[in-house]
Amino acid sequence: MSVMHRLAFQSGLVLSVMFVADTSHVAAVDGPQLLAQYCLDCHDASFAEGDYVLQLDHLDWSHPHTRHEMERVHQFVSKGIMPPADFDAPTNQDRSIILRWLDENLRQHSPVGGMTLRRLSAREYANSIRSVFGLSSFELPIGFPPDTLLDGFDNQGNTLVMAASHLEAFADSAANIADQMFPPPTDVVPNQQVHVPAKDLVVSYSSAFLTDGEMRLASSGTSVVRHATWPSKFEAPASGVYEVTVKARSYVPNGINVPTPILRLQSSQMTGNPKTGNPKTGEPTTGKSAPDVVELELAPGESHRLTRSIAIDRGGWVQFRYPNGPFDYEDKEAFQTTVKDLFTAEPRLAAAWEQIGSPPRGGSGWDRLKQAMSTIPAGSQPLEAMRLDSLVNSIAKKNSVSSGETLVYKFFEEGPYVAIESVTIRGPVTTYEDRSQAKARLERERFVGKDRDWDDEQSVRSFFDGFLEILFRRPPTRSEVDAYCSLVRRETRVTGASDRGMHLAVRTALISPAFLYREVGSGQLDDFELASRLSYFLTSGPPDAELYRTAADGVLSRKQVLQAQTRRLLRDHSDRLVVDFASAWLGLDAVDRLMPDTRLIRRFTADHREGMKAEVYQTLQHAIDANLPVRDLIAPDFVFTNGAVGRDIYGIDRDQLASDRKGKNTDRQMRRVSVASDDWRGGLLTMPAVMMATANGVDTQPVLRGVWVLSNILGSPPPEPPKAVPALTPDTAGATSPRDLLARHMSESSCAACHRDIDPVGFVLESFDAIGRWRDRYPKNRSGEKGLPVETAGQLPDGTQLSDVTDLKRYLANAPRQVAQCITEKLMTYASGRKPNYTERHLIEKMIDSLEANEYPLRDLIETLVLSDLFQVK
Amino acid sequence: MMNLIHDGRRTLLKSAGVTLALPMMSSLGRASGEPVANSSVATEDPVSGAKRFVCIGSNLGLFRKALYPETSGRNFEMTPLMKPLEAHRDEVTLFSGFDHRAGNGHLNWDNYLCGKRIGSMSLDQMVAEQIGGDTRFESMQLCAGDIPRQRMVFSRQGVPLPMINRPSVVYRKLFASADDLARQEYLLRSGQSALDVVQEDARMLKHRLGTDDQRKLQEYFSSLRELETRMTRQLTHLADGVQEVDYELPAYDPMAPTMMLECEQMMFDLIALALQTDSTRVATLFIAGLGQVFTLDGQTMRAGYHALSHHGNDPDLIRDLIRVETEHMRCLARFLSQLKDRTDEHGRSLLDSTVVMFGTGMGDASRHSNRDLPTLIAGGGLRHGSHVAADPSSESGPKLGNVFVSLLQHFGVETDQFSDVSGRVDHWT
Repeated sequence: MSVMHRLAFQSGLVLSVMFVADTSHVAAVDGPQLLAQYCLDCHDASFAEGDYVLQLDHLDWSHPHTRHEMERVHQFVSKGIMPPADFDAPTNQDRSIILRWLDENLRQHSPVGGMTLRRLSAREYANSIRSVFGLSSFELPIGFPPDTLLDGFDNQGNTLVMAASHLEAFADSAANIADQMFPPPTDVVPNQQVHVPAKDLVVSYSSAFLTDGEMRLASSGTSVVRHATWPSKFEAPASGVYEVTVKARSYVPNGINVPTPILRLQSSQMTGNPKTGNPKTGEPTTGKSAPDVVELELAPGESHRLTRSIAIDRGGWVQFRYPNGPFDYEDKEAFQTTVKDLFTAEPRLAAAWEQIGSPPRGGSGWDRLKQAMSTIPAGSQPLEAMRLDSLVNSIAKKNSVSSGETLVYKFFEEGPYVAIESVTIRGPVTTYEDRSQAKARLERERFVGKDRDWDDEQSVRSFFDGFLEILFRRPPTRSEVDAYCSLVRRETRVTGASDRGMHLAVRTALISPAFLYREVGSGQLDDFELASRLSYFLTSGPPDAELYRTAADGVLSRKQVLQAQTRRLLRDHSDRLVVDFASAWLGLDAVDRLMPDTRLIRRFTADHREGMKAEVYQTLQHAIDANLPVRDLIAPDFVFTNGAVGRDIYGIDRDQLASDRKGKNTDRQMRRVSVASDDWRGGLLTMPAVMMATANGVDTQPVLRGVWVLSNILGSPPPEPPKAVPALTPDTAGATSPRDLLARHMSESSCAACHRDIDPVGFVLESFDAIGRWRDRYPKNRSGEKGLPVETAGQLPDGTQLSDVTDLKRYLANAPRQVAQCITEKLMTYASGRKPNYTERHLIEKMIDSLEANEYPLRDLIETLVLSDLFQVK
Repeated sequence: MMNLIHDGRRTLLKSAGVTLALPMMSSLGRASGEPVANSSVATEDPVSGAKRFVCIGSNLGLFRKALYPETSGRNFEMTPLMKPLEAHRDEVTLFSGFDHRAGNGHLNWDNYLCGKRIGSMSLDQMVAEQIGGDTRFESMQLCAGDIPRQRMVFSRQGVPLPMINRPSVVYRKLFASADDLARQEYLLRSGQSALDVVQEDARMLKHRLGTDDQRKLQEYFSSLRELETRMTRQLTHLADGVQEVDYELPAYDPMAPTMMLECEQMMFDLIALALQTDSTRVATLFIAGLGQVFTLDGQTMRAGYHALSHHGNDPDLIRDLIRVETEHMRCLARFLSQLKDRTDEHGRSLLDSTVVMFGTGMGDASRHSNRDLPTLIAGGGLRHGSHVAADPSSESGPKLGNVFVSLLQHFGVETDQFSDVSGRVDHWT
């Protein structure tokens, strides 16, 4: 059986009715003649129907554009998309002559290999930096130009352009890295004095109140933004100890019995270094972030003037609080008591509150209350107990924050409160190394080495011998090392500082094409390039030491070595592969990006998003680790889920989601849940992440999901829709069901050619709403009323009846070859930075033959791909 | 939360409270028409054509029922959202019914300046190539609110350009302090000499490549050259010393989501300053919009901005949505006034030489529909004062791309095409 036969046969089995090249007849006329006969009536230069001209004269098959066009013609003819049904249809014999001619020429002229020169993607770049410099927490700066995606992949040669904005971003990033490795001399921060009048203290929400030239604090609670104030124009210029002088007083009205008010001073952040200990006391610290706290007792009456020292990390500041204030609206129980006491003591306040209903948040609400109170005669009857309780309850339980933000104004005006008149900050008196500085120093010492003498030529040379080899992923040439060394020398001469020379040379190497581009040229990959391709494929980063050594020893291209390395990386380091490949392949970035309509789900949390994505990753990881057959990606008997997704999306029983460990967050914890193999749950087709990524957060479109399955699971993307066809947006609230709306696809033959593949698949997935929950009816309106029923029944082009998604799952699970072919093509695209061409797709087809007996296990697919000739060619 | 505030304070410290009067290219006090020495555009015709372009994109669009008048033409009746612009009525044109006939949903917001295909060079960048001239920044991309997933600006190579959302960063970029200057100068100067080394690396690489890949590597060489030009440009402007302006930044960056409207206003202020000092001639501003709950005139909105935009015709939500959008219109009106009150180097009002466009990639956020994108265009010496209505359901009718062609031609770009449409709209001719 010819390759063509088999491909057509396989494709025919799954979904498409394909026309097959029939080799039994001898052609009387040739392919081009037949194409001209059937196509040029509409697609010659003068008519150019649909803006498409079929060029058949002087075909230059060596040109990629020609091959691309002819592949398209092949697709249209083999799927019977063209000619349209209401035109003269070619006989089967004519069609097979055309297909044979196209197939022969395409295979003859599509060479294996031919990658486009590509730079590292932003993602690969960040991983490379982490790996080369040992900067484990390195992140790209916000605003780093994102890479254009091609079919979801960020690492495709054709879209990885190097525009000036990219090079500029790489250069900026390089300067930052060089700054850490060879820090520019830092100026000694002078001991300064900053005076902060009350008006320069921050008010956030209702945290503080400025009046009579003093800043009052009246509420206690842990939230900084609601219960603290701090200087708006001071931040610590260096990590150090500062002397803070406060002029402050407290006020407690007569008859109120509260402990002596405390004014707490605390640094926003103070991280000691475990070695040097607490910067003020020298006592050991954990190195964890903990504020330095000082408390001042302010006896009510005249203002006090007090000076204390506070240790503050660079960039931090000092906060002021009233921690033992009696008014706390964060603690709902305490707040309820406070409000009840207040309303009992002042019935007019309770009456005013009831009158207004819900006073506005903050000071304006308090003003409204006071106004209302003034209209209520003194001595009027207090609210009866039931009404009082229900009022207090609604304030303290339901609206504690907004009510608290209003009521706190009573305390600002009447006390108890503490009031800051001014603050003076002097320092840094002494300085210390904070945690992030210590971390940066350790990273620097690890990378650069301690006390290296950069004025010594040999020292510089040996540094660049090693550094460039790691950075360029191959041994540097002598002239490369020379060039960087002389750059160091020159800059050292100009500036008089060898550190500056090193700084410059390091940041220069970081924008060198030898670092930014990989797998250069054409032909067979050499061992170093093979190591790079393998490691960026399986680990998203540069080769580790062991892999690199096999390349340096020149043995990596030996089958056993390559196989062993592949197995090792898959076993120990495939965590990034599953995340990066799955995200690209399945378009999971949409899960982060989309904001589901609140009508669908009132609270959509990070646990939902993370749980959805983690399910995909863990499923793939499990499939690789356990070498599961491809059918287990389609119809497994398990799902991985966390509590949030399991409960709110999958609708799995509570007892199956119970946490196996005490104290674990059930919403967050991932677990494996068994499902029946004929359940709708389980498998890529119905995963919430996929259902969410193929919708828009609000409604669903069967065509989009159908196209998605054809493109990403079956590897048979339909051609672009013709121009001038508007998108059909179903009005599910109205009387037209999506099915009625899309009926036109089937009634018009030119639409039906593709939509008979697309729509039945899309319709069975209509059982899932925009966040992947099962539904039987469409929503009708905001109130959650049910609308039209979801109709999923349909028929595949080969006549298979589908009643719902489980039929489709079963169908695909029983025909895993096309899914395996699709996954392998996607893996190849991800690894090589380009889509496999016609010939290469046929080679992949052949390659997976050997895996048929075991039903295409996933790890074997990857391994077979890596060991193929295809993988090792540029 | 604390981090936001923390970072905001850090970045702002330098510029906080610095109020200085300075040698500005043009200022309120200067007699109009006074020629300015060494102005690079002094030779151009001072009275015709627009020389600056500011383009604003609102993530959630504008509620069209509160924006569009019933009548088109010059005598359209005032609407709630046009009200803040009333003083500028004769300087603004309102387009209704124009769009790109592109896809729907938040993801397709990005069509706004690209036309039919996301990733095509955006309108502002086409204009920047034409008029960016040798100003310090060929264009600037700003954002009020959190940096969005949406992308507004795409370079000729299809690269989405990053946006800056901290006023203090914009300010420092424009008006660096002396310390920053010294460091920048060192980085630029030494960076230039480093380019020779990597250029040599690239040449070595080139020998190993086939023709197609050599063409691809050409991207690297031309980026290298462009980087060098940018560095030179920056160095030249650095030599002018610290540029000081009469503007006081608040002591914090309004980074908290609820501060977005404050941020929007500051960004408009900074754009006005950047235009006035001729630091740039093309700027874009993205107005974000997520779940933040605004408090306007002391009153807290009933729901977050994004939730309001999904109003589902609930009158309470619509009322609050219009209040938020009215704030956008107020910011815009204030910006137009600023431009009107300031003069360019020819003594002409800045507004006369600046086209200001306020639009969106989303027509109806409630339904995620990107049909009928409300668009306002002001200034730039165009003939304004009308409401121009088109039929969004007509395939042959005018589209937003036709409006863009008119703008491109107005900026002197010789083209009759934008994206998949050709021809200009007649309105301004």
